[in-house]
Amino acid sequence: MTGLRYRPDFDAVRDRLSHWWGGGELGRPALQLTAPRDVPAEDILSVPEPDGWVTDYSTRDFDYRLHLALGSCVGRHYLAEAVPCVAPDLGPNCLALYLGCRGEEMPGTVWFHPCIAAPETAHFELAPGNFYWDFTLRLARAQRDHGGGRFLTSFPDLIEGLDTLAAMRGTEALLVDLIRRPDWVQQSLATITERYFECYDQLYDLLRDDRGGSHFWAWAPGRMAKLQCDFSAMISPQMFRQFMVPVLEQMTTRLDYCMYHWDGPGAVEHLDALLSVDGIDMIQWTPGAGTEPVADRRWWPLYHRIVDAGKRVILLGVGSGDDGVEAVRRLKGEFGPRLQRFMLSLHCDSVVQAEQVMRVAQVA
Amino acid sequence: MNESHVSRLGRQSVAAAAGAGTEAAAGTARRRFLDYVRSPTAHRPVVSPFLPKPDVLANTLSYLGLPPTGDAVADEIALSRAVDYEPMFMVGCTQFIFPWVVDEAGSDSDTVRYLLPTAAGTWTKCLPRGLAMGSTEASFPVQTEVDHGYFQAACADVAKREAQIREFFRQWRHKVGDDGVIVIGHVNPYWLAHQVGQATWFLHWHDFEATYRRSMAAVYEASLFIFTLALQEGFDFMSASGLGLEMTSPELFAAMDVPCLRDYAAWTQDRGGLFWYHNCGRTQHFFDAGDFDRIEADVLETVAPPPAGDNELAAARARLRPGSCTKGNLDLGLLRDGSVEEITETTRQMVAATRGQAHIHSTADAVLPGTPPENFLAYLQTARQGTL
Repeated sequence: MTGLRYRPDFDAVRDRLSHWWGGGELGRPALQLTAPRDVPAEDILSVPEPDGWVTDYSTRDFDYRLHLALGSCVGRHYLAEAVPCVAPDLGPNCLALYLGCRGEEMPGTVWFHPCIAAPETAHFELAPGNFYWDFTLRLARAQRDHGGGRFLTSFPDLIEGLDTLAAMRGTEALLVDLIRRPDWVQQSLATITERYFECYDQLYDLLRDDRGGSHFWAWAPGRMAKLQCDFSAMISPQMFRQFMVPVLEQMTTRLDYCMYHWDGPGAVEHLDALLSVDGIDMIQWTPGAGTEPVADRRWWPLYHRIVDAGKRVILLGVGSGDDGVEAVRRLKGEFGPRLQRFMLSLHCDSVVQAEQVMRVAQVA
Repeated sequence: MNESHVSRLGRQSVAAAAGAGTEAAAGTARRRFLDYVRSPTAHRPVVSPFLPKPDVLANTLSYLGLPPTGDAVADEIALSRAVDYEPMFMVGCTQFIFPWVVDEAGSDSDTVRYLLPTAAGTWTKCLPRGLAMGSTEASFPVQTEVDHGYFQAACADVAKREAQIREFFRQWRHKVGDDGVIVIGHVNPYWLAHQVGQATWFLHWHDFEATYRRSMAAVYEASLFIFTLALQEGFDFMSASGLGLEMTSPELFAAMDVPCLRDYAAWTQDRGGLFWYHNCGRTQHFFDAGDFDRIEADVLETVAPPPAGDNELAAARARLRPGSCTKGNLDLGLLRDGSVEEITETTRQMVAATRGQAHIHSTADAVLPGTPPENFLAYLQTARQGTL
């Protein structure tokens, strides 16, 4: 593989990203820039949406899911370090589906129904013939095979740790479990981590590129993963250190590159704990609903702390159009050369504007 | 509070010095209320709605052909005289422990900054403009363990405001006169006087319980200073509450709330006063487990029934010692939205369920705005007729 049809210079992109992940500098932040194409990269035959289709996470029609994947990258230019990719996602928290949850498709999303009624009867097995796991593997293979040479196939949003256990057990019940049966929680988390890698390893073998690189919310030259704990907004720093930090420490030793999806003001208090995990390379801050956008000055002190700790910052949805350009300009004013430790994702109005972003972002 | 805290406080017997100069005159609503709580078998049961909203009072007066005054206290006094019930009024006091002031210079178009000077330094909190404290979890000033230091220092400063507090209470007593009882508002040390959010306090208790206990002790002591002034100025009930007890576990309630409430009750009773414990919602467990009885409150409300609560009045009442007085428990939704016939029947059942026991015929929390006068009167008049 030297290039992708939708990103002919993919090798050069991988060179730059490998250099960046290795501690090198690009003279600007790594940038995931997209812009609309006037003409699609190729014509994809239109297929009518199946009756009753309510979410693109759906498992009701395999062929339609594949059709959606094939068409998902044709309408955009991928610029700077952006990589065209699709993912065989079945919803946020796919691992919980593989371990026994039932998904209920709802408009635009999937609700996961807990599957652990009582800790005494809980099991965490990747059962042979699990519908969701089989569907993921089939779809991942199909996306890879049919999309090969056009785009990458990314990991599905597996999710791990307390978020997976919360999906399986129910959030309120798990909160009580943290107090009433902490040993059970920790044993469960350790088992979930093992199951995670049963899935991850198979998917990595299926989806890695010719350099061993993989894509999980970002491309990296090895085993890449996005980790998270949205549940952390409901627990204390001590609880986070007790239950989730060991999970992160254990998982990151089995991965080459990790970003942590850090979501919402309720999770801010866990930053020190996150920074203490050596294996987390990059932190992706999501401000949460109703708060200032990701590039707002309110969050800059957090970014400084992350960079000071030797980690990288990834900001998704920095802005679009002129607002995005201005946001990059402000970030550059605040962080200067340290902006090279950032990866910024923007959707631009045009290729010309994307080139403007690259110029504005230049710091060295 | 814990046992060591109780022993540090000690039990004092200060015989009814409090409020000595504000003895309720015989025959007044205030006297009737107090006499009933102190000696229920010897006096006519009390009828007393819980803090009806101003519109309910004004509309009910108008319905009776009486002129509203534009002042909710005066309206309730007028209504209680017309319908023959014993009103209660509640006066807040937390603002004297935490007198936050707006810092205009430190505020901007999006955020209002508040300051509270303390011996530990100036404590600050910032709220999005237009939002009040409590609007979001982040709006509470106690967010970190460091904030507990400011909190404790602020509590120690309450004595500096004695003259201001005393004057405030005196004006209230003067305004209400003997036309009703006054209950002091809720400091609630276990919730740090509502300076910490409901989703946060447990996490602090979990991570640094000793610090949390020191904060509880500090605000408890501050509240006792205020209670002392309140008793001296003739307030009738010292008080605390438990809001949203569905959000605490039985074990935590027993560890955090009950010892503090017992201390409050004992402290108040040692000084000749009466202690009032307010709670609402789903509280049956606490009756059944004996937690509420262990508090030894003189008045315990609201014994909320379904759907807002889960209590059956007679069963809950049976879990308490005979001398303690319950108060409640007419459902607020029924009172606002039900028919006169339904309210009349439910009130009759409430009276029947507590006949011969110490019970104040009231509502299961503050009477909702928009409650029709016919409904409000149906409850008041039926309860009164049933207790003559």
